[in-house]
Amino acid sequence: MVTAQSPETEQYNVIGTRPIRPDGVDKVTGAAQYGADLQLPGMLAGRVLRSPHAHANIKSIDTSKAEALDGVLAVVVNADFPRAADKDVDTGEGSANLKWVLDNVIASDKVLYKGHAVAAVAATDHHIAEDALELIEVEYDLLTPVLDVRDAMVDGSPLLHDSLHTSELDGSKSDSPSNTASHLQFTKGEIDAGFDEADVVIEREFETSMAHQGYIETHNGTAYWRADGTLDIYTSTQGAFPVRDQVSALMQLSQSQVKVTPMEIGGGFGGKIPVYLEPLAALLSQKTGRPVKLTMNREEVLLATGPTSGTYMRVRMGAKRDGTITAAEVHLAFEAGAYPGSPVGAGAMCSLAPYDIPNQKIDGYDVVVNKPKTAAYRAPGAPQAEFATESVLNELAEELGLDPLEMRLSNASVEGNTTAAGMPFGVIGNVDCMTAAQQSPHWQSELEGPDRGRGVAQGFWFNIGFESSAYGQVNGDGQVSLVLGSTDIGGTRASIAMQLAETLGIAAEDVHPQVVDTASVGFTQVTGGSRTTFAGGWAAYECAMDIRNQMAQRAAQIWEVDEDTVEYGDDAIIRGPADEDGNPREISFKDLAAQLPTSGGHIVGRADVNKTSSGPAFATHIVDVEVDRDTGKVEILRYTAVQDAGTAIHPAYVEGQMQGGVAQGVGMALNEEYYYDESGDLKNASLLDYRMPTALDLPMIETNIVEVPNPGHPYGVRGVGEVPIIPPAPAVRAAIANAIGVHMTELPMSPRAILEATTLGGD
Amino acid sequence: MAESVSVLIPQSLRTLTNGAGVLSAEGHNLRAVIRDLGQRYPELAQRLEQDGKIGRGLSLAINGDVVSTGLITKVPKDAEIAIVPQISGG
Repeated sequence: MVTAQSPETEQYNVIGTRPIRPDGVDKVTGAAQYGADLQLPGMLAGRVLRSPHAHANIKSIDTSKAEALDGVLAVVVNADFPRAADKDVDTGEGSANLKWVLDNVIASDKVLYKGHAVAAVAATDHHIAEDALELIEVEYDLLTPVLDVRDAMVDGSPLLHDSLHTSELDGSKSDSPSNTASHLQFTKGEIDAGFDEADVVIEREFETSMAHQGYIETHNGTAYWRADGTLDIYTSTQGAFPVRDQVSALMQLSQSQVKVTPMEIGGGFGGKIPVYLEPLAALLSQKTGRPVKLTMNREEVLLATGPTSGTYMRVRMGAKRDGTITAAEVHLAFEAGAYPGSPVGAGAMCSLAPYDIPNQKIDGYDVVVNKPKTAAYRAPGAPQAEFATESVLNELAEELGLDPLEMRLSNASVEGNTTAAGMPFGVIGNVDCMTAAQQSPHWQSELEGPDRGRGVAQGFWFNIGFESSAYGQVNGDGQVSLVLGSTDIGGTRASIAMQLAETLGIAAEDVHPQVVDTASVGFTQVTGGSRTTFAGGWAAYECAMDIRNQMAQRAAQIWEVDEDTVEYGDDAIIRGPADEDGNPREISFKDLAAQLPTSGGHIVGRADVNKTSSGPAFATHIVDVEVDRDTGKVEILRYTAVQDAGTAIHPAYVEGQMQGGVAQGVGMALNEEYYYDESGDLKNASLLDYRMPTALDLPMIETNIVEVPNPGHPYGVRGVGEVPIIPPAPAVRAAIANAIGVHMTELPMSPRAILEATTLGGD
Repeated sequence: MAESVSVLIPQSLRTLTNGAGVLSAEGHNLRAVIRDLGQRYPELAQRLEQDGKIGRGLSLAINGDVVSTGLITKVPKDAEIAIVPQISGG
């Protein structure tokens, strides 16, 4: 289906259209192969024994009875793995300590959260493996769990890691061990002088709960350790190469000995970057000599895979009566879970980025607690941090009697401004989004009725580039087989293929993209950080330019003319100098492709890119809510998401990303929380009790794509997946305040929280 | 050819620069810039370059773009180099 294009994309033939997704038929017919579908000859079933305790020393593990059970072929514990060195390993978008990576996969001397893996079994079938788990005897010495980020930071709090000291960015470490893994600080201007200039100062504290990415497909991992010492991994992952690198480091294999095949993926949102099951399957396969498949159930996913951080945050912001923000101070304490590595750094850098505030001080703390190790989740750290800052900004506008969008516009970051972290902005669509929101039918409409309110909020995310590869083979039928290393979570097969098609001047349907294993394409970083359509598209562009050059060279050879006299046109016609009779020499891409096999052989274009540039993204969201004062339930009446996509390659996918981000952001705003009891037992480890929004909870989310092309990309692309999850929570909070006059200070703003706040008088 | 650049020092690293927030340096790539800084601020250079790579937990950004090509990344004239924590995305 091809629909009308936006003014920004009218110059293109393919970009801005909406071709049918390449994976669509397989997915709607059930033919798509997910990790759990995989069947290999002789394959064994694996299961994982998990800790019932949140914090305990492991005194002993006796696996002998399980190993003696008929049908059990292997049982492994942490001690069976090669000793992990105390060094960093690339985990996809950063690095982590290898020993901690292994200890999170399977506990060594301590369990640090309920659900922490302690042993794994391979058996001839799933039921025997389950029975074997019950025969493994683990003796624990219970310790007091630390479940709240502020409790964890207090001197004298039980320590999760005796060897952990607080690291400062300058490399210094605290004298005493601590649960605070690291601290960072950014400053700009003179914070005290900035507050002295302010006519109004508002300070608020916020708490947010851990929330899970909530992907539909649970984790899985299959491994086959071959007799020749090579290892095949099949898994649901956002990054096959980082899985290869982590597994090879953990198993002390060379990278070339490990091949990772990414299966179709049923959602990730950042949560499928770490390894969990793959190393266990590998070791079980090594022990048994047979393929081993492990899958998680939903409870395991919620207990033992990375949610985003719970937080404690404090924001103080001051402004003049005309709305000029003079100073902002932000304190962020983020739960990292059991091992260091929360997204507090990114949260700190995003927290005030939409605004050009002259005086800033931002502190961030990464804190370990007895909960699962956090993982990336869509704009990691930004939804929490910007919830706090956007909320205080909305209250300032309210206090000053100013329109919250006007106040944002008067303080907005523009090209040339620099954040507190020293990151200057290039061409950005911050103001464009605010203006588009201001002019939207939603903002222009009247909202009537009791207990109804409207809120608005802004969001910012960096977006990133990094390594991507694309290889395209020109087939004799004039079509191109395109192989990619990027797992397709959100439609990147289509968006990358469209950029190749655009560059070649051929139809989108003439490009056939496939995601392949790590031995079949160049290194490609994770699908995450909203980088894939950006960097993958750049790789496709360069791959197509390589094809164009080769096609022009081949035409020159066939015509026996100088290569410099032949050009590949954007209309996919290759043109050379006139022949001896004065007739133009020209040949179409398809016609030349048909001649390739008999005129020198096929052509393969190739591009391996590593892009440092990025395309920062901004979004402005508007929401109307109605609050039921009796039950505390908040109903979303209307929602509009405005976002700068740079160039919308496939607008339907962009709209889908915006709507999906809003749905997840509303979930974080209203319902999603990890509910622990005092012992560290997660009481809502199922989707019955962990309440994600459904289609019944949300209206049709209106989308407005703003296109401010990114000059750092051949087609102006910015990432689109991250930023739409950021504004929902502060926008909903503002709408609730507008509806019932209560300023909430926690996420989620669940019926319980609303009732407590209204009963106790809120703020 | 060595280019003159500005290096923005976050508050947390100013213990290594005698409190300075912006430093001038020269170098055709990041490694050369860090080594130039190291002549005046050896502890800063040790933090920025470890085992031949960008220091642990840090990223460097040139004119707002986070570097993914390591210390050999070329530095344009008058560039602003920011030192930031590693960033991950979902």
